[in-house]
Amino acid sequence: MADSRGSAAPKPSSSVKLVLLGESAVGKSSLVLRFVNNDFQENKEPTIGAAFLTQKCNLPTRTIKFEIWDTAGQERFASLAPMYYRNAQSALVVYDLTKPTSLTKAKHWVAELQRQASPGIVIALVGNKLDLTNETSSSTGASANFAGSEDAAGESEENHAEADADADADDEETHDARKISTAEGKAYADEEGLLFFETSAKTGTNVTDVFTAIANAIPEHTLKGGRGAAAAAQGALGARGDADPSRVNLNGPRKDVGAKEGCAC
Amino acid sequence: MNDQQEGADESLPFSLKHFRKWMICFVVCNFNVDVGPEIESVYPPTPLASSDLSAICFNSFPERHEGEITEDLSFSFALRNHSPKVSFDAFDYLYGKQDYFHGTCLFRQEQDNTVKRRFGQKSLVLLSQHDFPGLWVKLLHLMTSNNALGDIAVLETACMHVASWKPPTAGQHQLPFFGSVLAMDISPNPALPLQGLIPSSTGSREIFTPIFDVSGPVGNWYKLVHYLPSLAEIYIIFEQAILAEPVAVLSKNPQICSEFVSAVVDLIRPVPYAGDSRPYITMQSDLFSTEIDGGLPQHYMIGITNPFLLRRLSVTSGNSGHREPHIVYLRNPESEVPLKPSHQEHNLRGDHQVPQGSSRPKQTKTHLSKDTAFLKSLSRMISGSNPLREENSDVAATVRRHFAALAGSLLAPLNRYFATLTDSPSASPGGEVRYGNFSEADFLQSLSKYGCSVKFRGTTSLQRQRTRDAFYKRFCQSPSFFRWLDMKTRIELAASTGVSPSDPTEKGAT
Repeated sequence: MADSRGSAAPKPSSSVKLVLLGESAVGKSSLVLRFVNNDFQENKEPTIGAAFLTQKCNLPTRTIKFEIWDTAGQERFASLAPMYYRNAQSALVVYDLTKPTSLTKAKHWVAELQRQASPGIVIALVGNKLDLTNETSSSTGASANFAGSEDAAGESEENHAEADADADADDEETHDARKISTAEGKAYADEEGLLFFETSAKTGTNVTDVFTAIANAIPEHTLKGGRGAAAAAQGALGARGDADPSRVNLNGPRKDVGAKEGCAC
Repeated sequence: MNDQQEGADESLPFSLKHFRKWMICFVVCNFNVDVGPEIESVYPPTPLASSDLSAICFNSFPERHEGEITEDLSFSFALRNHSPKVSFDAFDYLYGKQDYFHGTCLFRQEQDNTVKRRFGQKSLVLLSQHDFPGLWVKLLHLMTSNNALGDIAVLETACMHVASWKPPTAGQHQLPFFGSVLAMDISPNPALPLQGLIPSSTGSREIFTPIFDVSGPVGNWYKLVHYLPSLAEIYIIFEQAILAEPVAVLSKNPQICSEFVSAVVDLIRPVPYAGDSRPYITMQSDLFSTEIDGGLPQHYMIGITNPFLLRRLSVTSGNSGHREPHIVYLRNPESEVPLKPSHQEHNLRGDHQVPQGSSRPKQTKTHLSKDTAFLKSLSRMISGSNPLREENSDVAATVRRHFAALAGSLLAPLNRYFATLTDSPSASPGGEVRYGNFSEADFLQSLSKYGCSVKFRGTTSLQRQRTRDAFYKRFCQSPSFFRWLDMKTRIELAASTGVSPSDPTEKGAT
């Protein structure tokens, strides 16, 4: 797909590498499927390894082309994750609102990203399966309160208390499978400086907002155009990517594979 | 791959059909001290004949190596397909020869206290019908840099990625693989890396995005020149390769001989290499029974590490009445490369422990005059540099440019002659391309009339003309000429008719 051609007055276009991480069956692939194809499948097969998809996100001043690496949540693929978040400019760490262990796992991923991924990586914490809680069943509009699509990190603070109250109120009426409160997720996200959303891949609630918020949060100076998001990120985020032997060569002295990819820095 | 083999498709998490457009399978080989090399796993399951599996095994380990192997070694090999259940349609070939498997392997030695020798040796082999060695090596490194060799989760993931790629047709490709997106160009003709590709509009491509030329060499001259017995030797090798004369490259390291063969095939472009090129062969190779009479082929270039193969080559060539190969004794890269061949051959043979009884090859006669100014500047560029540490891309570019220009100049008189021929190329109903009325005598006449910009050996101009004519006679009778002419004709036909020049039948020919 040629992203450079198309509109008559092209906005600057940049590729952004995005990686999805999270426990098995929290809905990573479903979020991507909703974002990329606006589609949903029940009982999706578990992802093997990782899937690669792209989707454009139009911002007022520029176009972001997401190069999305949707990784497998199954434990046997966990050791491959560093290859996918290496040089990523953004990450979506997903948990299941109805499953407490999935938030624990998400916290592990956040810690690993902060320790090992590119410095300056934009991380969004996403609680998925909002449709299994009372929020969406009561009113779709309310869900937008969890995070403003414009500036998620800043403005949503005042909303969560209100949303929480809603959840408590609805608890009695319908079957609410929620196990992790909005406040809990939000508090952790704030503490770690993450974007925070609660979404439903099934209904589509907040899904596009997550990606738009990430697109807005990517610092402009780390963006380079066209093909080669990885190389661009490497250039922008400094030489840490390849030069740090602890990251690339975990097994000791191996041939430096990435050498060719690096820019002249 | 044919339909009969796709039965297993449903049990796999990816489309085997899509995967097989690019490759056949991964094979994990393990070196068992008691048994020898053995297969640990084949993924996805592939009905390879046991003879092919054992050939893959033997080709995937170094026959010898010096000291400790601390770094992974990667090298390539080719072998004939003897598996009746693994067959490909002609259109499944892009580069590479029909009925051949192209294997690229990554060999790793690791400490392992559970085995007798205290270290384990393993190889991960990528088997494909396509000869894309540069891409295959890159993929293997990506798969193994942080992972254990032969980890099934890694193999499955690799297959998932590959099965999501568009089929390998000529043009530009973006290949997502383990977190990287590899940008790659496939040109319609391996010998012409730029021909037939649509130039990308400026701006849409980042200049520092690595773009693969799949047919490009695996080896880089900045490193390989240091292994040359002398810098002048490169002219001899170039001439042998362009005439498709037999060449054997002897090294102590399978990666070096493999890279060297790949770099030489690239060196003669735009002339397509017309011999049987085998970057690495071992004692068990089927090369020695390639011909119908059970002998060696006439035209080949092989990489070897086992000096005993030299004796076998010598005996087999003698039996079948073929020319003996020119042997390139790659040297230890630590000392400085001499400019001119010294009388070092004896030392080099001793250094390689060449066994007694392998005949001493006569000095290889050459036609082309060496450009001493070029060799001197090359010598200056590499002096004091360490081949294992410093990457000097200028050296590689200088060498490739010089020899591409030389090959181009050698072709110029032929191009001129063909331009004067009145009848344009035509395709017969059977799809065979004919280039009307080439006559060697007419061409040589045209050559003496218009001359050639390449310098040939000789002290007088008459001698130089004789050498020149002798060279062109050999070239016109070599398979290189036919491969080149076939490529040229197809490109011209395509230009005049607008039909794609890629014809799968040519790829089976050697």
